[in-house]
Amino acid sequence: MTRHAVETAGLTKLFGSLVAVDRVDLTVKAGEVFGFLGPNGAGKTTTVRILCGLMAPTSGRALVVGHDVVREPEEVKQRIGYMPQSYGLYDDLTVEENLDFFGSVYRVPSDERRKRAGEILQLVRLEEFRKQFSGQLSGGMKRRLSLAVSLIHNPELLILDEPTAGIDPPLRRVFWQYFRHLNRLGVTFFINTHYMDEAELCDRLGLINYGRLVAVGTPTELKTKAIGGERIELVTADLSATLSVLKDSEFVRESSVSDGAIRLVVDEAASAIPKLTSFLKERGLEVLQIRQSQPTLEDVFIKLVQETGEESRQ
Amino acid sequence: MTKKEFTHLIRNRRVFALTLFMPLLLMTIVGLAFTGEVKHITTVIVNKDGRPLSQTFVDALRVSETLRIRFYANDEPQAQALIRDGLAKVAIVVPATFEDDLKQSRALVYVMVDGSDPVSAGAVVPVVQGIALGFTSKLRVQVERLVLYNPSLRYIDFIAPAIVGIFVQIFPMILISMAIAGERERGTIEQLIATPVSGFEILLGKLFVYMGFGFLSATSMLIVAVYAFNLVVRGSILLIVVFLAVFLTASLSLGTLVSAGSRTQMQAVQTVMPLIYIMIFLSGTFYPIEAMSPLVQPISYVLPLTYMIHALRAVIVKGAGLEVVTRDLVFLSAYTVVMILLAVLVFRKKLE
Repeated sequence: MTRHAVETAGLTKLFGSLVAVDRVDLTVKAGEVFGFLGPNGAGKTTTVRILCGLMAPTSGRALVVGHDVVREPEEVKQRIGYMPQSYGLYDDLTVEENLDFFGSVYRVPSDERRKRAGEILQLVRLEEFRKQFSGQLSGGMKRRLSLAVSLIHNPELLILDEPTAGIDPPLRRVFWQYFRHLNRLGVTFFINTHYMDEAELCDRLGLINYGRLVAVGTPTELKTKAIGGERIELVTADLSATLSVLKDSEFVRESSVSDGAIRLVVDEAASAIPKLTSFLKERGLEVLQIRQSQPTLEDVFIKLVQETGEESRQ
Repeated sequence: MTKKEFTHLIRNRRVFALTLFMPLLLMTIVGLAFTGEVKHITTVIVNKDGRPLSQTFVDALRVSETLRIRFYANDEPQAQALIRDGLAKVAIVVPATFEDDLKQSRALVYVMVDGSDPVSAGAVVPVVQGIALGFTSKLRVQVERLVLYNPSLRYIDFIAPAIVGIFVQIFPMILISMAIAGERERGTIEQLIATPVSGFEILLGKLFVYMGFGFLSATSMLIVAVYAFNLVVRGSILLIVVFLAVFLTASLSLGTLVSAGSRTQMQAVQTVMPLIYIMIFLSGTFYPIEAMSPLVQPISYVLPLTYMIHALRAVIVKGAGLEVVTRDLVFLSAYTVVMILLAVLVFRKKLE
């Protein structure tokens, strides 16, 4: 049996009457890069804090790296790395001292600590700043140091709460290189984000809104789920005639026109394209261009978030 | 602009309450504590004469508001022991020949005062003199003053132990509450409690550092008092160290408690300030507690600083041993245990 990195059942957190996390059942497999996606205030940070043992859930259970976060929080903490959303290192300690201090509280032996600190600083390219006070670092360097600290005890799972929020795109790309590099070495990732381009880079995604987990799957699966099929883009000589003809066909689920092209949603694009082409030809409409188009995650996100928003308002 | 500023002021409830009510509270406390005249000085009477005239004299002393006669002793050593143990501040000795001497026109009465409390010691002699003068107009009673400990009635001997007590209370308390609130304010607490280190270890780390600081500060204060102001430490250094250790632990635990309700360092300091004022004014630092209004005396007797200052004065100035300050040590230890338990309870390793 493979042990999951994260497994929750009915995880719930109330703040007074506010339901921050609402009966979340979630599984993150060992070795994957899991993205936790949701708008601000959806409950991402609260979920992550519960998973890290910083907050007790109101009800429900969470197993992280095989240990119950409520009953064995120290076991969990020893095996995971956590990078909070807000920078939380000691400004009056140097880069090196911060790493060494956190290494010591994770009980990493001092010689191993020194070796590991060297490697990590090399990875996040902070070697030449090791003697600098953390408070003097730029925002981006602070983020890198924060990541470095979360790695000092060689964790098997890294939980990152919006690690790239507020940093520039080039550095975000660099961060994702680090993540992929570490992932290849066997580290599982649980990443909170609201950046769509980042979500695309995850193996699997969980979508949370109003504290509820509304969808889980690979980015492709989520797109299929949200759109209700696959999308085809079609250009013909007479768009309005094509549209009226398509309205009567049974294999098209949805159709609309935008930017001089017809967008269709079908069950399966690969089989639908030849059928559509011949169907239109029979009716004297020449297909100028037909291809499968990928919906963006942003479409998915907005669609699913809107649906759940409407549901919870009811 | 004025309206906005006013809104800032009243929205910041803690500051608003502090700045408005603190001065009123202090005014009240100071008014009640510093009554202007020293009253109710605990007194022991040694009447070696015992004949009617001497009895009348003792009765005259009893009427005085300044003195509170609580003991009668047979001889001077007994009276001195009471003073050494801090049970009495003054002994009034009526010699065996009082009545005879008085009939021959001139009698002598000795007043033994506790020099470790120069305020009471200074106040008592004129009062006894006044009573003696009014006792008989024809015959003269002469009052002789004998000062035990701190013979020159120097104020520094009275105040130095208190200053040590005060600063061992204040700064460690402020520093630790700022250190804990600071972790919260800077957000470092989140990263810290995500590690397997226990809340107790986090607390212990801070306790050790500020404990060390407290000892350093107390030692340097005493060194200055001894070498620059000729304070004589008569008692056991070890006993002083024991008291410092117990008291510092209590101060630091109190600081931890205070920090529990504070999200920022500023808030922590604001919470500590009122406590500090009350402690400084009511723990007998400048003014004997016995002389304070009965309204504030109960507060004095629950303040740990009261016991600390009492013990430091007894040990440093009077050279008292453990048997004299047992009560102080017991109270402080009990208080410390309660404080530590509360602090550990309050300092939970969770975000909320």
